[in-house]
Amino acid sequence: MKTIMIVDDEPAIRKLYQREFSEEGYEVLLAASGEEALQKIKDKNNLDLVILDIKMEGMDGLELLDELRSQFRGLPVILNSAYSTYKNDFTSWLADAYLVKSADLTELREKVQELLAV
Amino acid sequence: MIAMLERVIGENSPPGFILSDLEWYFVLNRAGRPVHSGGRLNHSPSHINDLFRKIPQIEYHLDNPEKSGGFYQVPVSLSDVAGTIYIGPLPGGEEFLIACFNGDPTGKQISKTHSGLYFLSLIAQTIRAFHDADDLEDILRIVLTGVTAGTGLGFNRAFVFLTEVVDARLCLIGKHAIGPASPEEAGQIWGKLSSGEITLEQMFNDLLREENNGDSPLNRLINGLVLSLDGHDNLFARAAREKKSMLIDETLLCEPDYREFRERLGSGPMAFVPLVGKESLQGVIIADNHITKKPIAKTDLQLLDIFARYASDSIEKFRLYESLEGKIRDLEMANRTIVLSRENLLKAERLSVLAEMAGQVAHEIRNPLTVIGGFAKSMIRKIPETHENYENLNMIVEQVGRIEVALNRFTSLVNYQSKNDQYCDLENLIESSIHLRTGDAAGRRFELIKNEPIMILTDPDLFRQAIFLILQQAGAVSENRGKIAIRLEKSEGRAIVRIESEYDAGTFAERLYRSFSSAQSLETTRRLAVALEILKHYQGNIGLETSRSNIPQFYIEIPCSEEVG
Repeated sequence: MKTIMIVDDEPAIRKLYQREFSEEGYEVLLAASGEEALQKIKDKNNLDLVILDIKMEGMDGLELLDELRSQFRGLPVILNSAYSTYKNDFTSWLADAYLVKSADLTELREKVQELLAV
Repeated sequence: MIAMLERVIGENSPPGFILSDLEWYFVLNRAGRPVHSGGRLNHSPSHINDLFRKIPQIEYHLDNPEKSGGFYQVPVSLSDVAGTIYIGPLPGGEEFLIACFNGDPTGKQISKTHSGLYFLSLIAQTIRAFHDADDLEDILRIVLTGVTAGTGLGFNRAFVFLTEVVDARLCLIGKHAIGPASPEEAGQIWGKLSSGEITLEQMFNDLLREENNGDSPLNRLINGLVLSLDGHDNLFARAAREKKSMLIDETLLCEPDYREFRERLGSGPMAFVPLVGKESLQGVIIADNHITKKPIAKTDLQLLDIFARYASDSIEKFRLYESLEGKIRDLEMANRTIVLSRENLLKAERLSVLAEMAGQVAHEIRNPLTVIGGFAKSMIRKIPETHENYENLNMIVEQVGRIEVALNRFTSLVNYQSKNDQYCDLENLIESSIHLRTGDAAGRRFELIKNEPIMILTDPDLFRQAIFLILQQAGAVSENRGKIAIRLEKSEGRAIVRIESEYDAGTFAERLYRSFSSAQSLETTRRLAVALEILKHYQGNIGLETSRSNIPQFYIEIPCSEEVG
């Protein structure tokens, strides 16, 4: 079973994504901040993918992305934000995908499948 | 007429003559040139005294003029009209009265002194008029009036041409002309002038008061006339080049090159006097006696030459002033544009703040929408279509979808970029990028070779990031062997950052360059793509070139910028 981590400071989003991806057959880990996510990723050896919100208190998604890129090089990361403007930030280009949040989770589900299939 | 005078007077030329048909009168100098305007008398004088009473400048003591050889011999002496230069037409009429000043040495001496004084007076009055002139047109009209007025240098016609660059060639362009275009017009003008006893100063004052009418027949004659200053043998070019006055006539103007000039102005004789300013050739004055056909004496040319020197300085000053004015106008325009741009920038900044706020609100709406719509969709999947909530949930999903579409449209409108472009010292940027790496062994191998300060316009954080990524790759490519030198140079407005390895320099450069297109891992490729994208965003790039010692060298280039206040 593949393991996905959802990093988002919005509890409702975490709950929604957990329900969706659990139903898809993934093991889902949750983190409410960048710091919590980094710690959990270090503890969990076999994490397969991270869905990462950007705008968060403390360590934001882009900072966490930079850390993940230097510490966990092969770990696929999908940036998932309510903001489309971060696409202009070159740092966001280090992610494997950038998807704007939507009530229709089809695109997100497909991207996860695609990255985990590689 | 002059020949007739010479025949009458012979070699014993007196200082002056008075010539009249008892209706008009003219005062002529020793050379037979009219020096004072001939004025139409109100009635034909019955006696020569009646005539002389009309000429206030002439002192005479005459009760009974003697008649000798058909001409009256009138003992008069010159007063302040001596030496003035004026060319007046001789009206029709067969019988002329020619009165000669007596030839005593005192009269000659007075004449000579007065000539010099008069010329100085002409120069002084002209310079005074220059001071009152408002523009170059006024200056040109003053110059030409001085050249043509009877109380000035007394030529019939005068033309001024100014130098201009046309199609990258220096040319003389016809600018202004004064004088009668025909004998009829000459009679009208000079008759009007002579009856009023107008001084040169009055003429200048009138000229400066009046609106410039550049549409006179003579002006039309030279309007658009271009004299080329090209060619070694070109008459005008030679005179302009040698800055020498000369007399030109039909023998010099017979070449086909001067056809248009001949057709418009006639074929001489003409005085051609360059207007030579302190800095450069400003133009030329061309003057002639087209109406009276009076020969131009060497002294006339000399006086015109001296007069032209004063005129040249004023013309040059005014042209420089006009050029300066043009530049000031350009600067004012540029300043207005800057002010306008600044205002627009302020407006844009205000709008940007509003847009940012609106955008943030829109984005804040997206999170709850995602949750509402997402859960609604999830619930729909779990209930049959016949369920009482199925339709309600569908309506929620549908309405959320509509809001999302509207949000997407709105956020695309208020989307903003927040880059922090500023003028940065390239050396500092590179140095701080290296310092980011001093924590590891690879970082300590970089050596920045300092040079002159180079400023670039960039977002320092982004640029540091790009350099950091490239240096990281340079460290990997060098396989941690030897030092890596970073040299900064400036070339043709671009900053060049050379990255050179002391170990196997050529292979290092080629491998580093190639890794931008085909790195070993996807992640490295992606990182270098980000770095390259940052460089290209600021019109920069990477490159590979061969050094003098035939070794490939890797370099980064980016435009230099000069910091502006």
